[in-house]
Amino acid sequence: MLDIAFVKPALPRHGALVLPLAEDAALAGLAQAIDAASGGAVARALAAASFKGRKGQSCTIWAPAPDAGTAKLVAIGLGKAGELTAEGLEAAGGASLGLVSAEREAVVAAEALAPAHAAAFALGLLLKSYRFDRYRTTEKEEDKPKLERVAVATDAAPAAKAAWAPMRAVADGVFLTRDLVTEPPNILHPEEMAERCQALEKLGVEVEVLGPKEMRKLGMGALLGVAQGSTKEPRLVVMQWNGAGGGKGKKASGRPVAFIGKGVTFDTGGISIKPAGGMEDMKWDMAGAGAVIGLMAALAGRKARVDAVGLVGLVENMPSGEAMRPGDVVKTAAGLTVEVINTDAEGRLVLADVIHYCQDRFEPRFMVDLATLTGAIIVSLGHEHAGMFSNDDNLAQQVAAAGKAVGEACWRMPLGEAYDKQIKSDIADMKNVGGRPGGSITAAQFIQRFVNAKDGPMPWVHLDIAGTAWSSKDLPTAPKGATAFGVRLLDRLVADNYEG
Amino acid sequence: MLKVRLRREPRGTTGLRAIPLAAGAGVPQAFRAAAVAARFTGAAEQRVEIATPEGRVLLLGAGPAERPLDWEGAGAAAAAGAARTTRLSLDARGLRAEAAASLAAGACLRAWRFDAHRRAEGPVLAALDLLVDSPKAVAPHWDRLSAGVRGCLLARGLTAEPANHLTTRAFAARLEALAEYGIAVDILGRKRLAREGLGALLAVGGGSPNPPRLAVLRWRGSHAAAPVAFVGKGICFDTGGLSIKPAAGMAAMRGDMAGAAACAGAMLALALRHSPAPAVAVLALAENSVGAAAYRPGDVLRTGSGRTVEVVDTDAEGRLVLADALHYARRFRPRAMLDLATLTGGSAPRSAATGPGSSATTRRCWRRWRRRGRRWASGSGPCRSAPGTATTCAATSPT
Repeated sequence: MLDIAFVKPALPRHGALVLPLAEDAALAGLAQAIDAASGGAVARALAAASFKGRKGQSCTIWAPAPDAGTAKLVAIGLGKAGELTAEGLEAAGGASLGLVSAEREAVVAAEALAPAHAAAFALGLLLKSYRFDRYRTTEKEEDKPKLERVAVATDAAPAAKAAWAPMRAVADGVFLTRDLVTEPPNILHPEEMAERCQALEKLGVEVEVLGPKEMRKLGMGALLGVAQGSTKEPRLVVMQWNGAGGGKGKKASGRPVAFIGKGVTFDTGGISIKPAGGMEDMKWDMAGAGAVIGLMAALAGRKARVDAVGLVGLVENMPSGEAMRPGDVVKTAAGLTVEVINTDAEGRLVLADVIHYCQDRFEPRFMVDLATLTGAIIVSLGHEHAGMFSNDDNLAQQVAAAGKAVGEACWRMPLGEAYDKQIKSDIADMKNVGGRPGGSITAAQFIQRFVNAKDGPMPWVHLDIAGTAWSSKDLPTAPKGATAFGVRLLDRLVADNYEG
Repeated sequence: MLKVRLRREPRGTTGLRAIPLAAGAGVPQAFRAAAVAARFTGAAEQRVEIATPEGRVLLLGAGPAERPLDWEGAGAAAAAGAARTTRLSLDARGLRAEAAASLAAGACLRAWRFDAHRRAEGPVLAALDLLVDSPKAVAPHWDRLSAGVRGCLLARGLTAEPANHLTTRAFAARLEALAEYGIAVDILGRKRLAREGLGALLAVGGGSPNPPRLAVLRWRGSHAAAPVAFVGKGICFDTGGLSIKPAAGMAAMRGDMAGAAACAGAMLALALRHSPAPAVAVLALAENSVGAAAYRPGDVLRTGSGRTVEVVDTDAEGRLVLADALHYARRFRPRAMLDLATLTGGSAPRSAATGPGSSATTRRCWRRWRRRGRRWASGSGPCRSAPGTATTCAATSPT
């Protein structure tokens, strides 16, 4: 991971100098210093390249001032000075990464930016620098990115550092999630994933792992049904962060907030097997669980003043002689029976048991579940929004606002009785698919049937992240691949509404 | 294989006598009228049956009769015409010794049937009398050719064997039986494969209860030289794995071990004719099944060479097992490596027209392979008329 520091402004003797410049801003501070050292050549070169500081603009100048030693100057446009947002600065930081990654060190001249904005620029740069290369054995040294250290030069270093500390913890959570989501399925099976959860204990998270024996005792017939086709045993991991009372080792002081993730470490579809083309993408069918684990790491890492629980149901969905069949009826932990029509609609079966267990044991203030649940949500919303389903307008608004703030957009989808009718079964309490029309909605209806508190309504949001968990192209603050969608969103949800 | 006897005269008068004739060669006086009436000229693939008081006589066209393959074709036509008889005389008197041997080879290749799992209805051709002027002169040529024929038929038998019979274990056992011909056979099981780090082969075979195997066959030869290495893909059945194939045509995937079978046949041929050339065959045997422990699209595998592979489609398994087998073969420091594999659907249209698709890393190796291929023609001539049987033929003769 990149080493990021906040330092007093000084021209670098080697490496790169990054100048984040608002539209038509005069060169000041380090920018002015390098321009002076170059004898005005920098300003002339920027003008010649028609660099005006507009959003998305960039300009590279090699060896701007030979005597100063700086190898490369990179100017990045931020847009109008009065309209700067954290999201915009993150994007600018992300855009600068590619231009400086061949240098070992870079200095960001951030004197003109507010401390929070300087930190946001660094966050974007850091998030974009993610790389998963543990299985590359023949990559040439010169093809690897070189950047190791980024120094953000600002006159308000202490304030920027204070803004940076929680961001760094969240970035750690994001990287953890991206690692989990990117890992190949022969390495990351349920047992291995549960083991990686246990690493969170170092951060003060309490981690409990339930195996098939305990799940059988709890009557989790739906989750166990999905898992029975694989040689890999399922796991249910319960992570608790009790930060409301000050952190580590403290008892929970009240009802926690709860996050639940679908963790199908590989989804072949089971006996209702998927077509071969694109099946490899199903390694990230555990992205919901991956996000919950990263979120718990983020909350604990920044010592969030909240009591939170994260639960992930980890299974592998395989076809074999032992596998669950279409037509099987399974009994969930809630006591409700489900007729399995399609073994490839397994995520909702796993969530049903985990959600029931969560509310039964913790009586949380609210529940948010994340799941790469349906292909239908990609048809509805593409890769730009996650589908949001909720029984509580207030919580839904909070989630939407948090998503907007961090650039992880959600779009609310409807729920209703007419949809609920589609999952009526002829021989059981419900069936696990409701046909093609409204496929994402009937999936959410299925989950909602398991959301019911003992006393009063249970606020609940379901995020269908099948379209947003993985990106086939580079994003402003993420290289193509796992996005860790949900980690920053839910961290922000907690930070804005449930701390203090 | 047919029982072949070299004789000067036909044995008895009954039975079927076949007379192969090159284009333009004179037809024996007794059949000349019939040949003219039937417009028989000796062109390739011509066949005229004449009823005589002494029994049936077949006139067979050998075409230009320039290459051994022309005579093999005529021999094959004779065997094809000898259905429902048990004994065939093939009249090679007056022909060169090499041509006579080629006739017998063609007949043996064409007469082969895969009868392991059925009872034949009616008589089946079992014996061949090759009529020659001098058995002594023909015998060495026939010995040399029959070795290749037996290797080829071994390969065909293995390829045709259904997958429930030819499991990886059964395949290995049949390879171990080649020890009787002086071939050293070493079979690596799961434990040794793991020790060698052959993670690709282990992964491909992981979904099946029939465990993966790596079979290493060595023929010492008598030259003190580096061996030539044959590397074969031996997927005893290929469902495609989790990237499962469509049901239609899947039955043919029992033959997805034809590359390994051909290598085994080549080794048998070398041993039978006591080739002086040292050779080694490394055969990767596995069943690509769907199961609880099957490898997945998205898996990253570490091959024996240490390099990693991201599996996108589990049905592209042949190259995975070959990667490990080729890596293992390198330890014998071979002069050249030839790998044979039923690898891609994309190669099939090409091979139908011009021979198997091949690529080679050195030009010399490639030229030799082409030359041999033309000379030995992969058995495609004699085999073409035998639908439903494997057409694999061993590359019978390095050096």
